[in-house]
Amino acid sequence: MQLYSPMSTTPKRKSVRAPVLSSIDGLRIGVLENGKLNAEEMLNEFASLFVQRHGCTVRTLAHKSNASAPAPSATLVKVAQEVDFLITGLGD
Amino acid sequence: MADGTIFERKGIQTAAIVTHTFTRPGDAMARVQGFSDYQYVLMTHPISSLDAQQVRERAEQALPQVLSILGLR
Amino acid sequence: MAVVTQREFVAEEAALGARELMEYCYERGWTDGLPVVPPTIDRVKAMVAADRRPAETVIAQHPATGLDLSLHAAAVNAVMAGCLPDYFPVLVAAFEAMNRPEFNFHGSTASTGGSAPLLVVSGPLTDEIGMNADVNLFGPGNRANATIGRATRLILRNVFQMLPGISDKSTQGNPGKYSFCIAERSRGNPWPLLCEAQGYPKGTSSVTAYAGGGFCNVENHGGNTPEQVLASVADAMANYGCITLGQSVVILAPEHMKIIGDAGWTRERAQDFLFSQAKRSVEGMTDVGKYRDREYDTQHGDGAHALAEQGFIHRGLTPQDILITMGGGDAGGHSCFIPSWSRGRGSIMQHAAIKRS
Repeated sequence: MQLYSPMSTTPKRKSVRAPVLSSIDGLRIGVLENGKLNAEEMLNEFASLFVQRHGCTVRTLAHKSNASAPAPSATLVKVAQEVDFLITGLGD
Repeated sequence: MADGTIFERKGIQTAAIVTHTFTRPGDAMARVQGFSDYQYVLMTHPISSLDAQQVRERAEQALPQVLSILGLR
Repeated sequence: MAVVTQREFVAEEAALGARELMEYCYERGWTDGLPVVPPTIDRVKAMVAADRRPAETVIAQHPATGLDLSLHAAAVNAVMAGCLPDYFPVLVAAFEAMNRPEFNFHGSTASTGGSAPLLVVSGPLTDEIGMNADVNLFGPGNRANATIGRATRLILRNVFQMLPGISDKSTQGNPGKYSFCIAERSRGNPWPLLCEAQGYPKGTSSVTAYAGGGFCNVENHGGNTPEQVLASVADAMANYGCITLGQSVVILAPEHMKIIGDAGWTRERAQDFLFSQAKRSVEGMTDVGKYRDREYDTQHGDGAHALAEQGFIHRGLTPQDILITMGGGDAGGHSCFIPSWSRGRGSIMQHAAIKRS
């Protein structure tokens, strides 16, 4: 007897990571915090370490109003154009 | 985690900070986004109740992980 | 030695097949812990036919993963839940409502908060498909209520892979995660039904989806004024374990509704009362570690509702955040309050018309 699978029929995708960085000196950091307690504070600490030690600039601070959904695409597009790498955070 | 993988697909190296209780959902999300072995920065849960000094200390401790994920070590 | 009749032999063989199919579904991880109806081709085709659109039509998408819910996949899970084809339009409308970003079905399902989508079906369809709006409203026993709610959970698990411990991080979960679907009671209801209040044309039924964090029974057998009855509801809404800026669902028992309706109170007056009374002082919130400047500013800043009292955190942002209607059996002073999942993370109840072929 044949049964249909109850799973999604969306085609599976294969992704690769972005190219690694050779140096971060002087690069532009994007910070995307997820609105949970201390997320902004933690990511700001990382950002300030990069600023102090590697001469980075914090180019954009983008806030997610909803920790549990991907940042809206307008946010993503804006941040992607202005940064060389991103730090982001989830979980309490 | 979804944000991290979305930025990676746009060609931006991303260091996602994940607390240890969320590793399974983080891994599951990365797999669904098509990444078979997505690396991220692991921190002890919780972060929400840390004071400012503790946040600073945690960031300092985790910095090598961040640099490693960005491909620098 | 017993003589095995032909009928017993056929029955035994069929029973063995059914058990194997049941175990097959368990082994694949397709169930909610209870046995499911095996989704055979014929059963799924009959279910999909309840919606005239092509089976591959996508009715919801999970932004976090990009996974789609097609009518086909919804039908497979509806079969597994035990739905009849007549129930399918309710399930489809529920997911079309939950698909809106404002509902955030990913967040409300993945979160440690453990909410489950509560579906409140309103309108003539509830009688047409035999839903329960009466005795034991939230309890088991009615096929439509039980299986529509169950299909919702099976879809979240199987299609969107929101699996406990993996992408469902509920600390405690709640029993509504098995099934959480009711019909709004029209018999004896002095207020416009939700489908009418929501603006749908006469004769159109609706389903309201709400990320419900649990169930709180509100008992009051001594109160005999609207203020007394609703004060006990407001107190439940404002308990320190529940009070947030989130929305609320209140289902009034017919006994309580009679007191409120006979006094001439409208739904709006009841909402205003509940909003104004469901509050905790800033000192009290601070004492239990739940006070947040950001939340106070949101509630009392620009656009603050006139009933929001300074020095207090109210439940919700406006009285319209409280969905209130009637349901349950004729006897008993037992209403209920369903707290929401987090508003801060963005979950606002949504409704949609139920379209039948």
